Amino acid sequence: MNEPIISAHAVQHVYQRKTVLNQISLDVPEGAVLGLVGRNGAGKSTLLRNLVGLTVPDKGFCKLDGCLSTDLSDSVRERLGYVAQTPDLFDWLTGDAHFERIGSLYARWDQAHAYALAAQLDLPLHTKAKDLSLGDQQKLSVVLALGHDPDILILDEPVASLDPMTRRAFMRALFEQRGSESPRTVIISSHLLTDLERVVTHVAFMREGRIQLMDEWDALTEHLRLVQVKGAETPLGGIFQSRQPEHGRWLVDTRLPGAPFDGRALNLDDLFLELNA
Amino acid sequence: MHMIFSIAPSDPTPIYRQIVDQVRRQIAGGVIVPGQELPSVRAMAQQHTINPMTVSKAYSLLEAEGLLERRRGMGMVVANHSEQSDKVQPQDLLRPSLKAAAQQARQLGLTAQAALAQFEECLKKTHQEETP
Amino acid sequence: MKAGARRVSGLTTESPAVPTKGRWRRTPEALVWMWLLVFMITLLCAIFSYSAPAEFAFLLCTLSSLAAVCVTHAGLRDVHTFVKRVVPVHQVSQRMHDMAHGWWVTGLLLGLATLMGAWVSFLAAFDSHPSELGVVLLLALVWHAVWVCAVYAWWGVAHPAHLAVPLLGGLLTVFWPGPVLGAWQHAPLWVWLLAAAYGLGAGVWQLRRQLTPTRSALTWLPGPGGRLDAWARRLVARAGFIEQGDLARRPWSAIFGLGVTFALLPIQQIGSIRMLEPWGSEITYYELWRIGFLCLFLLPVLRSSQWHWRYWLSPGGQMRRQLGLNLITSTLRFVAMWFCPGWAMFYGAKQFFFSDQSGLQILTHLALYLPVMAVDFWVATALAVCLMGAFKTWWRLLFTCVLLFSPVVLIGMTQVDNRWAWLQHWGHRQGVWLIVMTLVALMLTILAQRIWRKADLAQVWREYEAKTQTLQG
Repeated sequence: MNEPIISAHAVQHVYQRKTVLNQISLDVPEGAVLGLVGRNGAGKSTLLRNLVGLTVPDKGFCKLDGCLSTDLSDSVRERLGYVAQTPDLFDWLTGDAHFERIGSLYARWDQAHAYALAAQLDLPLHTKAKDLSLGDQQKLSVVLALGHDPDILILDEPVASLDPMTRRAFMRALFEQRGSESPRTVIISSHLLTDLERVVTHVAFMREGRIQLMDEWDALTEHLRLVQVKGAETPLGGIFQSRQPEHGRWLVDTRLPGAPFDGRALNLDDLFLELNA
Repeated sequence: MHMIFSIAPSDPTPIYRQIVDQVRRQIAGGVIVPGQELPSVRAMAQQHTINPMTVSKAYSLLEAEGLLERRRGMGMVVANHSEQSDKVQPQDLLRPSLKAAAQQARQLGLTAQAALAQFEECLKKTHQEETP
Repeated sequence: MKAGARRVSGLTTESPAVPTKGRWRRTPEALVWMWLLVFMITLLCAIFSYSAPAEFAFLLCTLSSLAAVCVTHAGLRDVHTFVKRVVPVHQVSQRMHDMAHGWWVTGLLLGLATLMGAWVSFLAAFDSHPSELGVVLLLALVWHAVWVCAVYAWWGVAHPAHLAVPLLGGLLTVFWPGPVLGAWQHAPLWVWLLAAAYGLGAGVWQLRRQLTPTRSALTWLPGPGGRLDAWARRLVARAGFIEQGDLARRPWSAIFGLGVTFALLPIQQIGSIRMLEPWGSEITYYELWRIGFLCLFLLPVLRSSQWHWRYWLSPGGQMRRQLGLNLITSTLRFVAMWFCPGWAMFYGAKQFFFSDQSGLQILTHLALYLPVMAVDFWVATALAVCLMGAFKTWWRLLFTCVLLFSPVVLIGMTQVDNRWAWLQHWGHRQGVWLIVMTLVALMLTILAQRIWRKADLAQVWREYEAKTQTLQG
């Protein structure tokens, strides 16, 4: 129980002479819902692909439930669900046919559950995938990932093309009653921060291939404050200087000794803006 | 269940704290009475589309404070007044608003006396409006 | 010529320095046409050249341009783009379907003709024996055709395939009444019954199809026939024979690749150079050259039964450990399914119509080619998979050049020094050769496994699927 379910150790990934992931280490405990937040090109998708095993990092390694990502055992794969950034469906098959084909690969696939999910998300099941709109295709790929009740879910912008109602339905579906006892561990990478705020327990901010900040979300909102200081001094407990030095805005962790208590509290949007300014 | 919770996830306050504060306020205000059942963790989570763990965290906190108790077969239930009357004072619930007002007063450059005078005047006015 | 191949065999077709507009645009599609033009010119030159070195040079150019076509095609991001630019798809898509079906039916008919001819000569040779061999071969061929149709769900073709048997009998009776009627007279009762059953069943199916209004001849009909189809299809799918997609997810690409290999047939023998060798023939210094070209021709044919990250991530997926092997076996299965019978049919037909050999002799010759083909294709496929996995276009180019120019080097070495004269004759294609080649194939297979174990599957997936690039980098 102590070992994190999803972990990355000093992962380095270079693509076309550009360092996409720069010594990233990440540990996600069981039952956490991690929101992976960062600008486009920060390397979120690459990190998720490394975690899942589709990409091999140049240095370092990733583990899922104790298994190396490049060599996942069947039992881990049975409990893994992944949604890629593009739907990547079989164009010539209908949603039904997808359920059959993909469902037959998993032992825990529950056809009724998949149909219920499809109904919840308002997904037509009898059109060929190439005739579906992008939003519907995304819904289908989400249902395909959730149909076998996975314990580990890795989602790469799963709701980017969905309308707000469907997004709510999706988030409700993430936390539905489950057949297995172990809690579900989720990593979601998304730009829709208002949606993420509702459901995350942990947040990780990525920038240019590094993790700027990762902590429990409740702790961050409670203890992180934006402080304006005069001049170029560093306030005690300051952990991140936002914007240019002359602006004097610092993110301060009030748990650190000597840190000032006042300062503006931040929600996810604000924090993202400050960290990426 | 006629207790209304409004969750604002974009608020800098953590969601579990919002729930805890709202439950406390409603108990102190008498909106929810002892013995009344609170919505289940799942129902609350589904209704507001939040993480059930957040709800159960809030409920556990309230249970630790003694405001709620777990009853078999019924879920979370408001505890009796006698057990918690001396724990939560209405004055304590007023503190956050007063703190914010105090900060504003300082920013405006008002002295403590001027601010207090303002507050007294507001209190009187509210009192007048309520008792015609 | 190689410059062009270099530019496009890198699996991405973005090259900003290349002009992409205008008549002389160097898009992959234009390149394919260019290679085909070069191919035709050099083929003509090769056929009409007089001196051996010139012949060899022209042949090399011919085959290289063909190979360039294959490599280009394998690297094409989306063949639909290619087709749409050249051909108004909405006008001819149905005709392409019909052409494809016509091709298969023709091939089938030709094959049946060969076999009927073989059957007839069997009867002449073995008067007392019932021609069970002929019938079995016939049934095997028809079953094979049905299996192929099942794989591609071309149930519309299955009906003409079944019809072909009695139709063909009729045709042959018209042309060679004596032998054919004699063969039928001597045939045992169960052959008659079988023919009747086929004819009847096919006739009923055909009639149903005429009566039911359908949009196109390719619709899969529901009903008792449809349920049988569905069962057969599920069976075939479970057996894993339905390829989930070749590396380009376009069956046409693979068929095209094999079609190019078919094009080897007319140039199969120019001078003393052959692409496919029978058992017992002499191994010359063209060996490496042959393997190299076979490998290049197989590049667009590479397939995998699990080419999708959904399969790779599912339990039992081929990820990493077995991916190289999966590539090799899927490709070989595809080659065995399409190329070998097709080639056998065409070769048999050619020999039957244009030479005096009897059916038995033809079949014996075919049998001689088979073991060599099996090992050759195994080696070539394994090599192609390794090359694909290496992903470094420069190394691939270098390697194939080494292979292709090896005869020149070897001839040069023999001319220079008499000690190397043994290089001209490496022996005969027999036991030792088989063992050596099998070992080579095994080594290459293991190498392919190791290469693909380290492959960046997400990258590969993205390249081949021509999806929009993710928002990275």
